[in-house]
Amino acid sequence: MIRATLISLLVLLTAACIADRDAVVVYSSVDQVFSEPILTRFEEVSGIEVRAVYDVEAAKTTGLVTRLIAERDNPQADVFWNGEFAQTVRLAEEGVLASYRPANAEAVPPAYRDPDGAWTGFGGRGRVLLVNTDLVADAAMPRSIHDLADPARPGDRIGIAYPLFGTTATHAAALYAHWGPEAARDYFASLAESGVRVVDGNSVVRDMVVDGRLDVGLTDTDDACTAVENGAPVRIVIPDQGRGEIGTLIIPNTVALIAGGPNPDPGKRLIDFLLSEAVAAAMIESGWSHVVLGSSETTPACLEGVAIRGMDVPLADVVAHMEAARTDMTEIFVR
Amino acid sequence: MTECPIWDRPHPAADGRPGPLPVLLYGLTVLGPVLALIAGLLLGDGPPPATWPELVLPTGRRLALWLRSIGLATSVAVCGLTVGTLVALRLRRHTRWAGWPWLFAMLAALPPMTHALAWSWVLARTNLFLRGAGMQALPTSGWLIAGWVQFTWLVPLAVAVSLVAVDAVPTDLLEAAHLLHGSVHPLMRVLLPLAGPLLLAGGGVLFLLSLLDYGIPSIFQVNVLALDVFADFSVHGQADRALLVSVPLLAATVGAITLSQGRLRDAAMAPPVHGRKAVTTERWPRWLVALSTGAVAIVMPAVLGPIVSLAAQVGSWQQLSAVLDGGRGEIVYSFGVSLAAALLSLPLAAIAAQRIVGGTPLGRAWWLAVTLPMALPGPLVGIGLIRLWNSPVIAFTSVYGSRWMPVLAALARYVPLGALVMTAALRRTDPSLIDAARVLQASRRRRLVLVHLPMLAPGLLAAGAVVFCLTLGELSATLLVAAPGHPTLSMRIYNYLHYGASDTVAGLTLAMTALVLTLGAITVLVQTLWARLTDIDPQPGVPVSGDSAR
Repeated sequence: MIRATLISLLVLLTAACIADRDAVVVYSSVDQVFSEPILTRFEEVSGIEVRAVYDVEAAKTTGLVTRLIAERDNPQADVFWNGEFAQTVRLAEEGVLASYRPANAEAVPPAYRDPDGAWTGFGGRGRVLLVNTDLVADAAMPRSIHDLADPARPGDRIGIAYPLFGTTATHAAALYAHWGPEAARDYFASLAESGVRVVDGNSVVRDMVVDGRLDVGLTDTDDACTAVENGAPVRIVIPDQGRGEIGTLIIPNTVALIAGGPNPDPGKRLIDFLLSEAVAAAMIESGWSHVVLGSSETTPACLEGVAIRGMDVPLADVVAHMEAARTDMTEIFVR
Repeated sequence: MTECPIWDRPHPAADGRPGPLPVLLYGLTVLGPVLALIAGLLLGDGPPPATWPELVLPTGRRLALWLRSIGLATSVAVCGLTVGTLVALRLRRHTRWAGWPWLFAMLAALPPMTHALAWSWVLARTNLFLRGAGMQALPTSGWLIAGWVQFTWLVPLAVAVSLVAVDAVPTDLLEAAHLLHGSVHPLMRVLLPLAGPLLLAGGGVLFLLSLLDYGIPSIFQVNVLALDVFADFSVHGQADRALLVSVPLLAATVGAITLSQGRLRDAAMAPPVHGRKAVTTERWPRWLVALSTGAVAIVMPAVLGPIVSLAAQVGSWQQLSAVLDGGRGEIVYSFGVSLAAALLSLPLAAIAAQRIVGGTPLGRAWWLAVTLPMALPGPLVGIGLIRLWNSPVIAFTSVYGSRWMPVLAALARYVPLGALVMTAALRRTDPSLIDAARVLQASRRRRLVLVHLPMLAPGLLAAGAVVFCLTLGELSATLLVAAPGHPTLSMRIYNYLHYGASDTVAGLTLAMTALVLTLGAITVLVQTLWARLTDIDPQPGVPVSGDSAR
């Protein structure tokens, strides 16, 4: 038995890895079903092998960020492709990211780029209301996120994901930045008091609206569009689009080069590729992206003809409010 | 009789204890991630020590969450064991098939999220029907439904443990009790007290699994401390802080495991056998028949519900075939990872088990070495693995970043559970055979091959099967260490979960179920063949380990 132990562990310890040639390691928090075809396309056009690790929603987008921070002293990844921006900014603050200014990033508005070149935003998603049309009449359609806290609506028929994780946490921080901490905290406290259903993720919100377990849910455009494309009895409402209203939060994808990664040059080529017009179009066609930050003539099928007006709030302010917002959200919702 | 803990009383099966090198390997593989985390906390840039008491001691909201989490875990463990015991009694009354424990243990390998989704699906459709009929809908959130779904996840394991515990009670003692006292008395005064330690040990494991799970409670809107720990980790992103915040969970699990497993010393355990004969004189009162029938009626939907719901969501054979074709790479890789973890876990689990039953002065330390890694949340194990295997000292081995990392994650998380199974198996070995071998066989190697291994084979198989099944569903640590370009089956399933591809998720989960059931069938087959080959049917009067048999 002892010998078996030694042999087994010896085999394990001597598991040599073949040196990476013309390969790039990418960590992606974007759903595999959306990102894999794009990475495969990159392999085809560049001849560079892509080795990817995909995050899952159960890890609340913290899995790969945690991994990147833990690997900081001996990085294994070359590129981080994130479905949102807050965690990318955190990685920049932790010194995990290298500076790289892709030439084609000039088309991206400065608000969606890091001034030091640590990350670049592209193809965005929006926060939307998904409404079950079998259960909610046209006249009762919500128009604003304030409608979620309306006492006239039964709280247990309204759903949000835990505002401690993912894009819902980012949305909470954006409201902290836009309204101020006190007003935002009061808003979420009123949601909690009304008995709003707080569930495990945006996809769960979508599924519950589709199944009729909820009338209305706050979710992301990618989740909402999946429901629409599957023929569910739902309607997407872009909240707060009226004059004088705050607009909705637009969450850009972000891409960054990892400092000290093993394959920096293929990493830069992948970043250039991701910021191309062709990828912007592919992301919209696949249903992952619904807001164009650069230039693209493709429009998303599920939101055809709908213009999304974003919240006027700097991303840096949102990130600055993340910790306070999450601490409050924990106090309010994890009781 | 003087009370003494399990680690103070040597068992002859501890003969041939491992030397320092295997112990070092156990330390590196299983304790390494824990030690790397502790070293990071003490030497790194973690929270200043002055803040530690505030983080460690739960007060106010966290205290309430901690108490509620313990309440939920206790309820699930107690209900699971009660129902499990009743089902085990019922099954053992009507059939002596040796495969039942395996069949149920394998069903416990379905990931908790699968149960949550399946029951959400069942509830949604039931409520649609009820509302259509003008009736009151069932609750779709809250403690009751969260507890039920955790129960359905863990009850197969509870039944498996109960079957093993009931099986371990010597038949001749039960026969004698039935002859002397009639119907209920033998159950209450003989069977339950003798099976109690093993049942309690199983209850400790159920408690631990329930306490550390936040997936099911959060889906049904129940907040537990495990979610709070994860939320804290998400807010601050500091593993050292998360380690401190999780101390109340660690304390509860270490306490529960120590209390529950410590009673194993009182277990009167017969050697495991194939096809033990039934207690022919057994007579049950009607209320017990009714209770056990009710328990079977509860377990059937709990076990079959998820499988039926998954099959319904897949739709057609063509769809299932397409899904399996698409996920072939992950299925094969996950099978390989699980098999490697199961095989490698055996010597490591045996090392720990031998030390625990060996009665060494360090027995308490070994008990801690087994329980502590078990109590650590998965993401923290993952971070510990990165700190250890990606550290400048070990990184040259190139193990980190290779396809072996999920195997190491599984070993770090599940070898302790395998060690507990092995400990029970070691204590079920016949001490007289080992003593005889010691006298007659001078060679340690021959003793190992001719005596120890044949007697330990069922325990080894059990430990390996447990590790295999748990590895197949592991996600939280694997996600942090999986090699780029090599996702596991559970990673693929959770990825599709977000996309809303319920047919794909259902198909892949069914594939996972098929894998574990196949392994279950192989295990039963090997057990049967082994029993026939070694011919270890019990002789009346053969001494059994445990105090009551001495």
